[in-house]
Amino acid sequence: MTPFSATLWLLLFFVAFGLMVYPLATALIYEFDNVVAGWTALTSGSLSGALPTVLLNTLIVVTGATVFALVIGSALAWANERSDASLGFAGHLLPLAALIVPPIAGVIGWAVLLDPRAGLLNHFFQWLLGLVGLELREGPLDIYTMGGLVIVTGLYTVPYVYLVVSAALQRLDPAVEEASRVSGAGPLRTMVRVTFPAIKPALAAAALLGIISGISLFSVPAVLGAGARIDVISVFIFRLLSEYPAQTGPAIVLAIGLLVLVQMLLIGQHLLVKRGRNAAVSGRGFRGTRVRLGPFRYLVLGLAGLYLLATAVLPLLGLLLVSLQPFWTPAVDLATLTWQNFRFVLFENRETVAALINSMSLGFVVACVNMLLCGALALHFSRNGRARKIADALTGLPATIPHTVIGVAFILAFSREPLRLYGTTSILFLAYLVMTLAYAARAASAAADSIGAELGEASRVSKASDLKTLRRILLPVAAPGLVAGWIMVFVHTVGEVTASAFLSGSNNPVIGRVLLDFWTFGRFPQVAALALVISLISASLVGLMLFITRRAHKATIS
Amino acid sequence: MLVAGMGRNGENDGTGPGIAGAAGRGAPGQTAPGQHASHQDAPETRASDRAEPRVVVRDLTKVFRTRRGDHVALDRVSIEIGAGEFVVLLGPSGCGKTTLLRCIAGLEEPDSGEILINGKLVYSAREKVFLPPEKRQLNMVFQSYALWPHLSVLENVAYPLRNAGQAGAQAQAAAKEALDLVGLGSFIAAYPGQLSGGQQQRVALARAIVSNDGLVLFDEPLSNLDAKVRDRLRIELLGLQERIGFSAVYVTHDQMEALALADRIAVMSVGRIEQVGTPRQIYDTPSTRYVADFVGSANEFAGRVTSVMGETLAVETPVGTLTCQAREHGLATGADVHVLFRPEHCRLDGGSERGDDNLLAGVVERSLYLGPIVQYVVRCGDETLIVSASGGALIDPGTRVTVRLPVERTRVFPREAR
Repeated sequence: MTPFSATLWLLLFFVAFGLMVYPLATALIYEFDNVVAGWTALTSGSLSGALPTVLLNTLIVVTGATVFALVIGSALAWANERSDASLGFAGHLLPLAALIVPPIAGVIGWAVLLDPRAGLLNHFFQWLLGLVGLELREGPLDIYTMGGLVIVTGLYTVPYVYLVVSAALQRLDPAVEEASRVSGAGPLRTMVRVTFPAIKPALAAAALLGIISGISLFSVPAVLGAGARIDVISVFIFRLLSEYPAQTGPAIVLAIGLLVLVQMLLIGQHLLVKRGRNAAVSGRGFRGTRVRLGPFRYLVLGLAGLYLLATAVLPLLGLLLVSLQPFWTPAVDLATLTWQNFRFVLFENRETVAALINSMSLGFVVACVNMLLCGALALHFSRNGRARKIADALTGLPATIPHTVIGVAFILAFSREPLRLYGTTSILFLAYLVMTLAYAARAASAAADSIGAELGEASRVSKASDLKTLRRILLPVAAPGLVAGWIMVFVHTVGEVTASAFLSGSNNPVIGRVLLDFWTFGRFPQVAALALVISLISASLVGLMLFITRRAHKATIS
Repeated sequence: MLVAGMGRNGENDGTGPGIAGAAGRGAPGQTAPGQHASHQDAPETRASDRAEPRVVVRDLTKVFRTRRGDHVALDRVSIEIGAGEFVVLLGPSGCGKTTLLRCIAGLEEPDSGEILINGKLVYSAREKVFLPPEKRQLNMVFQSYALWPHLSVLENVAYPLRNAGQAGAQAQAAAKEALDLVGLGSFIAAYPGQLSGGQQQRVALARAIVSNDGLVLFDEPLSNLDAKVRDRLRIELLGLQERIGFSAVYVTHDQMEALALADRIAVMSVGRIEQVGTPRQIYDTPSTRYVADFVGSANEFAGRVTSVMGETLAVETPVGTLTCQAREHGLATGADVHVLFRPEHCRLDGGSERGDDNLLAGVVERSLYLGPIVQYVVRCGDETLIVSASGGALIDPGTRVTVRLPVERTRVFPREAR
């Protein structure tokens, strides 16, 4: 083992044991009696009545959102990579729209649009229907429903699918599709029979990513579920813990249940998708011809436009209108519009200013640390099957731990000696580090998989050391994928709500916590202003990073 | 003959014909007629004056452990490659040729044996030495070209020099020179994605020769290219090798490529080297039935030795009793054998310049015009055999012919050998 490998392993084991095993074990050990009582409460006690409904709701939301995201995400990825409906730079920005607008901001945006009484969009529809003589006092749409929950969750799952699928498509030699075309299959048949089967592993990975993110997504059900009276498991666990007295036992039991479920899905994926059966990129650069969609081009462009509208434009517009009002009303009066809410969250309110600074710097540091570690791991061990498996298992582990559990486990483990970190920025840093590790690892291994083995080997026989090969060849070739991962981690950290709710307080405020508090307290215009601010900051950073990678990409492929 | 192929160890001789015997066959003591022994000397002793072998591989073993059990990729393989020598590893896929190449490169760690490059021990199981590729003073050309897409053509080629510690300007000048050598001097600013396959492989070639380490490994470098480009690059490759004088180890499954390029060919089958020799030795005097079968085409008949007469054997086959050259197999009367002979070594004529040639009576079933040669399918008894002649005339089906087969062109192998 080289010193470099040893360093990587050391770091990985520190993250795995220090940030996963230690807090979980501590939580289990200190709460053991509660866990036993919790099991009884869930199976036959006070909670046994609510539990089946919660589980069913979760199943519906997660399945619905994942299917929705798979369809939209793969279609958009295919259109952008393979058809002449490509939107160029905008096309690559578009599926990232939901990353640029953090889900918490997006869902608040949709809430202010489609609230059955005060929704801005509902107000517009009421006005339209009024023209044809239909007078409505509520609706016609209600975001606080199961449908609203599924669609909004799905909207914000699309980017995971898109990024994974489009990376796989970029990797797939277009010759296999051209071979299908000349074998007499039309574009649609080729897509269904050749393209998607060829990237099946990526689709499976995308589905799994959707499920995992759906299970641990907290912001959407927290904002919509309360109004809809629909409990999903993440909110259920959160409430078990935030109510007084906190019911830590049942919460831990449920969390471990989720842990086991996701582990089983991962094993299933490993069994179903055999490595080596998907086409890896070789060292040859290739150019493919794009599928001509003809009139369908506008249909695809329309779909893309609709998606962009739904994830970014409409919610942001809603947020803007509300943020400019002194108080939230669907009837916008231009005369009363004011910048006061922005002044308030950006300069006047100490809590929001501190939250902004904290979240941004945490996002930056966490993204850099995670991508460096995961990028180095994935690239360094890309040809070492066993090491890769162990690293994958360890870095994938956090994705199987709902954020709620990380929050609780961290509170229990890090508010007692020897590591008294509760209420500091450090505890947030560690929590975000472990929570975004899986995203970082997935992005990194997707990027590493896209590099043919011979590229690294050619560098080794060209007298470059391990480390130099990593720095000069593997990292630059994998850079677009790694940057995509960086973006994901940053946006996740900035928009994180769940663990933030547990671990953040007045000493170490972060945006997620403050947004949730303001929403609960009904300070809607301020919530809207703050959500808009972080969306803008995320958007400009993402845009900048994207611009840099696209240019680097163009220089090599063009 | 240049550097003699290393023989497999004596204790293995019982399991199959070793290469020790094969290498010996190039020596003057060979029983082949002078007519073709004289042919093989002149062009094939190019590197004989250089003494120290560039690469020495001894008893190399590599076992891949897979879920379905162990797969022996290399089974105590030994070979030496001389300075300036072009050695081709030839064999079907899965025979271990690429594994051997990757072991020499340091991309694969063998299980036992040792490898020396330029007299320096780079791998030894006993002494626990395993030098990584960057410390081995060699270069490699890959099947997929393996150009780095984010670096320009010039940067790709200059990369090995920069790693060896050369200054930027100096490395770029040398890279430019190497690119000029492969005819890509005007493409230095391009990126690999903008080049055709042939151009990409030329860049890879320039990258492999730029640091002039004296050893270049080739892993089926031409198999991704179309035939015309492949033929051109093959000739250019030989020109480059002559000019720069590097040793080459070249892996291919294409026998024409092997015959065209090699000073010596090592024919491999499932983890072992069957025979090492000059292209002519491999083609004309294959030491095993496997080699005879794999390289070139052959008429092959099962038979039985009916009598041994000094240098010749009488073998009873379905096409008649053949007088064959006796080899070192020590065959006795009654032994089950295979008789092999090449289509182009047979002639269709009734003339009788030499009394001891085999004469087989047959009927032409079909004649195929193949441009430079004409191929005849001749039925002799219940069997058919192929005869080819360069510039021959087409013969009507049904015509009675006599196939003339010189005794020294026959090869006899014991039947149980494979």
